Amino acid sequence: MKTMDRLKDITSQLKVLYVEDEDLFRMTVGGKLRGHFKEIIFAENGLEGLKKYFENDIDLLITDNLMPVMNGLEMIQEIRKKDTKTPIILVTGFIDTDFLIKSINLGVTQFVAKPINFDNLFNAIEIATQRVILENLERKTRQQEIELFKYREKYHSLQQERAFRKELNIIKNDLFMRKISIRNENSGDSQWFCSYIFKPLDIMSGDSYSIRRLGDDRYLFFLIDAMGKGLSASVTTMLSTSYINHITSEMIKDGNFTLQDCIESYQRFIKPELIDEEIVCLSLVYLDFRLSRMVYANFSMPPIMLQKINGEVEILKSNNLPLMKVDIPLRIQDIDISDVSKIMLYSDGLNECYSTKGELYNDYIRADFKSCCSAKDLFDKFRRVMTNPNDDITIVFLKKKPASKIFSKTMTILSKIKEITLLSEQVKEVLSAFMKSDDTILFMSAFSEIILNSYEHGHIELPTSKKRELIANDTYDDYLRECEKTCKSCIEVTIEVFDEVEDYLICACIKDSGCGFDVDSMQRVEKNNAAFSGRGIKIAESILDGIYYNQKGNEATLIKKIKKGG
Amino acid sequence: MEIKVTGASEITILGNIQSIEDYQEIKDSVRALTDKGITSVTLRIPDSLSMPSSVIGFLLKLVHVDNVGVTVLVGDDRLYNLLDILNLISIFKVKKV
Repeated sequence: MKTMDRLKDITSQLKVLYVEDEDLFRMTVGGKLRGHFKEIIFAENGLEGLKKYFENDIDLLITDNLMPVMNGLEMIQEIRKKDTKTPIILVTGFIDTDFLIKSINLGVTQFVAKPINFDNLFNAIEIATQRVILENLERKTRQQEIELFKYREKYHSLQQERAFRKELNIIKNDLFMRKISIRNENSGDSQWFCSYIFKPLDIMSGDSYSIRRLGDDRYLFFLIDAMGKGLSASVTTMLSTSYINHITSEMIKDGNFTLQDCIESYQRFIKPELIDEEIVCLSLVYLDFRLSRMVYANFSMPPIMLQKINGEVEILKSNNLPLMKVDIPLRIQDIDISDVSKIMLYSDGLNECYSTKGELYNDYIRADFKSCCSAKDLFDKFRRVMTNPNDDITIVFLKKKPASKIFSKTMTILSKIKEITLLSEQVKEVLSAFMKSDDTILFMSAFSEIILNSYEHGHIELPTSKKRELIANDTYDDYLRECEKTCKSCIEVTIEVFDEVEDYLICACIKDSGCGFDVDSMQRVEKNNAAFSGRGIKIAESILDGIYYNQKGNEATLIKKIKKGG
Repeated sequence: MEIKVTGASEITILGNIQSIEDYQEIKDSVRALTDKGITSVTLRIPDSLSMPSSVIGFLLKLVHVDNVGVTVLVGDDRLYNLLDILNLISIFKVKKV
């Protein structure tokens, strides 16, 4: 009985074909098999058995040998031409050596002698079906593993996406696509353009940075690189970024930010969180643009690079050991930057990168820094030499707008499409004196995007959602034409050209009288291409060396460096 | 910029695509095809270095709202790279020619 119960566990999901010409045997054996199998299919001879075998998905064949039309062995022979795996039990009263050899060669799994002893039959069934069960189990397990793998892949992919968004959320950039305009009665007005590159190698980056506006033309810039690779370093980096941003926000609220207090507070926070032998490298720079003062503490990050107005490059090496569990003295230095025109902070993924030819980027960095006008410009140069970065790369780049220009022209128009078209032709003519034809075409593509952005947000004050709705309904162009009828607002464009030794620096400033463009909206990651806004800005960004808005968002400065001789 | 109809469902845009007028012309030419019931259009752009966002927006609307298939054949690497940066290679079935 126990054997029967055990057998039922094995066979209850199987389909059996029983081929027997004698009605009585079919009924008797069929009756015994009933209740043990999922389904029993009967055939009266080998030919019928063959047909039914291929019409159904048979797991086990039990067959008599001596039958009319086609005997059991002949049927088995035909079956085995296409299926070598299904177990077969041959029920026969006739066994001689030749017959046995032939049957075994045909892959008969078990033999049961006639007259049928049902214990023997069920034993034979148990032995024959074990392989089927195992194979079914293997197939099921494989399928489950594949499903689990797919689920895990999807799960990991989702987790990675969320982790990356979290990471970007922790980073604060108060100068995203913005310029700093300083009013200084003593030294005159000036502008600084701030750009950055953040290229993590993996989803969880060991690098991070933030740029914080402290108020009154004062800013905090910091880069963090927790040493080591993998999640442990990333966790430390994220913790550190998060904490420094938090403490900075608190200090901004209280109006009492000092670099020293910020660093000491961070040290007290991070030391207990570091595991043995873990170190954190970071570079913190406090800039007061109005007083032309820079205060910095570099904890074993690559040196801060400065370029003076006279072109000289100065390297500010690390002035502190990396942060670790043990106490280290803190050194903060204070310098005057009134004669500085460029500042760059970067992580070691940049300067310690090797090319496929074995060249170290550190050998190029000084010259590239000297000739570049933005983080993007520098990174483009980097990528031409280094095709396979193997570490996270972060760059923060500050460039002061040059004082002496060789050309300047300001044009003011009413905010109307026709006037914008005419103005664009004038700008193109001005620029073609300094640029090659292709460069002019590309610059004008970028210029068109930004001036149209200004037109939409400045004059029409068109929110993104409304724009999408108008485009979807194909009424966008008509809406613009209608709004123009009552237009009184203006757009002012100033083109300036600066001589930068081997290059010209082209600055085009587009200013509208509207409420300003929501620059921070560009920081949000949009995945849906159909709903994606800010495409025009992306196009312009890809062409130019920088686009910088004022705080309000109604004045955009486009920067492009071009080689002289164009 | 000059537009030519070079097939039952294909238009060729010669020169650079820059101005608002260029966008309007492209829009009108493509609409002339889709109004005839054409459900898939090809834009052959051998010369242009760039593509205004207004044209891109129009093509995206064709794909996502009007269910018209769009194929863009570009001649200049700079335009191809731009479309790549904007993640539009697969949606516009962009090919370099």
